[in-house]
Amino acid sequence: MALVAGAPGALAQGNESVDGQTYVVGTDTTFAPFEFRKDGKLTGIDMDLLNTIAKDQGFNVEIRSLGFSAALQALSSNQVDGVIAGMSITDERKEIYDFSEPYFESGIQMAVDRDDEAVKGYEDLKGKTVVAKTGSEGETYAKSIANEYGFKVKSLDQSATMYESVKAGSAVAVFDDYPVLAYGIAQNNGLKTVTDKVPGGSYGFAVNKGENTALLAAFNDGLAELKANGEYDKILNTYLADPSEAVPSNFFDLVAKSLPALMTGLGNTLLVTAISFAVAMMLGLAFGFMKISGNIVVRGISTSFVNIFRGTPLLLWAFMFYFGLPQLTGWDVSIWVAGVLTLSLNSAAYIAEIVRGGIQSVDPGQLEASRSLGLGYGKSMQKVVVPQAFKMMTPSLINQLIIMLKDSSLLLAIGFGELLYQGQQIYAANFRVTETLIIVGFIYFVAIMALTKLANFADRRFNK
Amino acid sequence: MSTVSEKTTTSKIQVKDLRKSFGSNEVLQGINLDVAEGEVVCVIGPSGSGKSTLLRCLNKLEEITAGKVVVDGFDVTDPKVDINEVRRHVGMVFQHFNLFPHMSVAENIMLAPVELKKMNRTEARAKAEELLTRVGLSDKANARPASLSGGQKQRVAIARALAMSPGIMLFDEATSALDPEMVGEVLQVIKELADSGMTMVLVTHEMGFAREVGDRVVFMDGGVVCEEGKPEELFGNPQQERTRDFLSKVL
Repeated sequence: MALVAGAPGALAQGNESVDGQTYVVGTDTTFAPFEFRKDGKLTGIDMDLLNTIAKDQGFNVEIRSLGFSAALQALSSNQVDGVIAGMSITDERKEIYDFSEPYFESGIQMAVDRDDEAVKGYEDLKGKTVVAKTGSEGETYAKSIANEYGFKVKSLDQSATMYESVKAGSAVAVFDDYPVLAYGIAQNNGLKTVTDKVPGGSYGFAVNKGENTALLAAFNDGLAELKANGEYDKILNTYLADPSEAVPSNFFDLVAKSLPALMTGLGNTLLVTAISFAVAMMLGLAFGFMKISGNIVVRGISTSFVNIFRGTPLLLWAFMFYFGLPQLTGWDVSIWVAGVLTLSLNSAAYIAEIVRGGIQSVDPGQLEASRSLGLGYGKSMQKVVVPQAFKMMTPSLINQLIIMLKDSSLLLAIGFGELLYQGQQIYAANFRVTETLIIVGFIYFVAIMALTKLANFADRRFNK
Repeated sequence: MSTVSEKTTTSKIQVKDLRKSFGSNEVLQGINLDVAEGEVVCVIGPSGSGKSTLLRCLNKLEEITAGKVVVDGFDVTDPKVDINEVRRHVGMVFQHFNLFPHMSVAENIMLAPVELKKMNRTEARAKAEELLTRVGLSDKANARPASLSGGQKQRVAIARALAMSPGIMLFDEATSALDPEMVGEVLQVIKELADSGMTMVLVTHEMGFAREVGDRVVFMDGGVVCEEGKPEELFGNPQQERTRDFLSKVL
């Protein structure tokens, strides 16, 4: 242990030593048991290994929980020094990164419902359906033996939902990475493994090729040290231990533990909805007025806008703005910008129609009366037509606001940290899908009821 | 009528060969009309004869297809004319009142003077109360239009049209939407206005009233002025077959 505080020492040794240095390391958001949030704190095998090695080798780490792809991008652009994220060592990746010694030997295993006595091996799967994770080694393996044993493979994109589907009976078995399965079982996810592990990839810590050699060497030294002194096995056992040792907490413990993260999610949901609705109102008003314009070009622009955004799925635009736009333009599009663009443009299309309908529902005699007094078109709209139209539009606008709040949950697909996303993060770590969803649903319900009451109160107050 | 230009100084309204089409349907087929200062002209005629359209062309609520309309010295047909300025000189009262339901009675009347920066709110409020007294509704200043009867609404509408102190008033079938027992109170207000020397054009179905207040009656049919003259002449001794035919049906 060389916890030398002296800065000169670290400086003098430069690249040669990691002693006292601070390294920024990127990781995935949730890949239990390697990294996941427990009671709001990032934990897991990767985290424990890295922290123990850092302590052993005398350097400091600063963790950035970025998501798998984002962590790799951050590494490529030198925003982080290394990545540890349950990443398999592949030949392809070796061309751009330098890997540590493998710190974990993974593999594929099959699991069934804990009470299932019928399926004991692949030969019992004939005519049945199994689930595997989209694009994973488990999926590749399951498909490679599907014909031989006569079963069908259905692909899902999350471990937690795969386990739920086995418990719900829509699939008899799941093929997943053995540590992930083992951890789930340790968390009492209601499954049991029935086959031996099929050897798969091994995981490594990565740095950019040719860079941070001292860090990589220190990681390898530390890993060897941990394996030798038994720390390594201790860490693994913490996460992959026998299920009998796990004591399930009750529902209210789950509520108490998940509430801080869910409240953060609710805050993001409300904030992105508020900003998006404000933008959508401005755009919707503009396009709504353009729709009743006498100018055919102006009207055409507005109609095209409405048709495009009403005629395409919200989710598609979320992907377009977050993934497509940066590639097409080279701009750095933040997730907030992408989220607000997605929600506000979609909603603006509907609001434009609400505005148009509201204005057209005002008796034309109102505009004539105002114009006959010598007020201009704009003034007449502002003082006479729009106030009356707005009164008629209010219920529809409140409706639109509530739809937007619920639609904001779709932004989880691009990793926006809203309420349902936080719920997913929680059940990805504890596998209590149904209970977590009940809590999330309840929070949405309460938030929307409160919002509805507030909006109706404002409506009565200002639209007498 | 070759003397149109000479009359510019005395005429409040001059209409010269006015034509108006809705699509291929020509509703006004060449109207000529002069209204002198202080004159009250009543326009009568069957439905679809174009009398309301003629009235609405006078303040350009309808686009004018062809011809010339000069109102209070402004050439309404000139594309460069500030139509909002013209309309401040011309009050208009509609069949269906068209009061602004989201404003009180006083606010309805105050809207134009305040928004057009002719008065501040205090002055406008005083003006509104003065006008409401004039139409016999001084106690309704803070009422909402919805709480008024049809006759009261139309009297408020008249007060509102007078708020900018116009030199000309246009009435578009002002009593047609009223229950019979309310017609009298509105006609009374219009009559007082006529007696005060206001230049007025009224489209009306009230023949008795036209006879009583009109300095001149214009009978329109099929988009043209069929016959015009003093009320006693037109009602007492109509010259045209169509006029006689119409009057025999309505009188």
